Amino acid sequence: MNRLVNAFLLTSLIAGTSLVIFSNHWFPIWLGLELSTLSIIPLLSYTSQSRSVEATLKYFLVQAFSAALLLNGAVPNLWVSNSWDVNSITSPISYFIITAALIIKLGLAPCHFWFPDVLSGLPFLSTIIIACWQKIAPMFLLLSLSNLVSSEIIIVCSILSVLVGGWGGLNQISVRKILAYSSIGHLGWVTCVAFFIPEVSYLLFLFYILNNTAILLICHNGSLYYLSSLSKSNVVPITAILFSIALLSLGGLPPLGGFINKVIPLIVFSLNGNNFIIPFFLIGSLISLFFYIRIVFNTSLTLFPQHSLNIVSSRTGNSSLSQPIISTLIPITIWGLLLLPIFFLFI
Amino acid sequence: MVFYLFMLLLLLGSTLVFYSLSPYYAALGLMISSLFGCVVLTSLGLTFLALLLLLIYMGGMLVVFVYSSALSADRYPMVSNLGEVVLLFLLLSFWVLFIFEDFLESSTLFNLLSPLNDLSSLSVLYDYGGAYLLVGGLALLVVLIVALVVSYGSSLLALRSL
Repeated sequence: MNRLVNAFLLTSLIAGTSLVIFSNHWFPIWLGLELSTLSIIPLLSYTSQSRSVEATLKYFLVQAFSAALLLNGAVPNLWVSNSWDVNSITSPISYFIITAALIIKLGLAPCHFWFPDVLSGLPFLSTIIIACWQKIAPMFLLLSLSNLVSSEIIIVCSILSVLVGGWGGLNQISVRKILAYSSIGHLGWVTCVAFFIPEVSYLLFLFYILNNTAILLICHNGSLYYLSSLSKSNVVPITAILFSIALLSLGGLPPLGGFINKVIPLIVFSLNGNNFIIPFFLIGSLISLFFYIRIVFNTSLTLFPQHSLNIVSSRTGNSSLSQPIISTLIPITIWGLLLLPIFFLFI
Repeated sequence: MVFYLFMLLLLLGSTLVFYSLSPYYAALGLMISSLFGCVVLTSLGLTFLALLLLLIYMGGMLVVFVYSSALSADRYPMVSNLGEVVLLFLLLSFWVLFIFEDFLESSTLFNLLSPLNDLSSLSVLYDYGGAYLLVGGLALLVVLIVALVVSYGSSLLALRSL
């Protein structure tokens, strides 16, 4: 696409998300959500392949519907409390409608059905925008609402998301669908703390974004679209090792950084005496760990019979623009557990 | 009582939009719903908003709708199920009427005595709310560019052959 148009659309995407984060009034929030949805439509569908266009259309329909539902939910609040202020939710119906709209936007279960479909139709760079950047605005809204009203709907949806993310990713062969279900599960872990301490959810969400972006960028570099291409890809060998470690970190194994996403919610639950819901989260993340290990297995732990030219010719590196970004994000992924003491500021 | 009759005709318009087989009857439903939406707004005292709605709907959106439905016309169109739609609307409205009958007997005062209700708050849009105008203009510019990029296609023809 034309570079000027590309730059303009990316700028308006950033402007739309910033408008959501920095507003106190429901109308610019709706405007920012619609602006960000609208400005990525050409970014997702500029290759006129039918898969991308179908994914773009599904994405637009879901996001436009939920943005309209959000504005519709702000109106009963206006009726009851005479105020468009975001920080004053007085009517429980309006809180429920707004939360439902945000859950649809984020792709939390039980409204997650659009997310794997959309992600599996898009190339990896567009996947990064949908899975990482577009979650910032609705997550910010959800967490700032949780600051005001603690409602159990968030815990129910996060439990369902973790379980759906685990079971949904089991029978997939497309790496994009696996990462979509892993993203659903991770958002479940991120939002479950919002019932207790919403500020901590910001930290977990930031870590999820960094981890997910690193893995998606590596997949983009190696064009790892299906499980069958994992063993045939021509990435630098060090990237294959770091990809495996980053995936295990996404799964939440202890010495790696992704464990911070699991240990902080568990500490918060047990400090609040809420031990009953912990097994649901553990079961969901155990099942999702299985398909992460399946990807790791197919990447670096097996050697399929192939031509020797493929094994010997290791390139010195894809010198693309994403390589320095990957090199910055992977150490955060691996050593991120050292950031755990930041959490103890919030208790 | 008359107020609720206007709202019912609004419902008739939207029923026509949803249930008619031909898109031209759906456009008729859009016209009816916008017209009675304007009547409802006027009876609440918001005359400027009513005129604005009428202009934008009739002058803008309906023209676009007619062009796009002319581009996507069926070869053997099914013409009309107008009788079924009106029957559905009458059934719905009588069903609701018989449930909420005592609610309808309270009267609503029409607020026609202060017709400047919306003009006095519209002026804020140009004064303290100037940022809303600018952001709204930016959003409309983005919409224009998005519509152009999405509908560009690979050929330089303006209209597809029918």
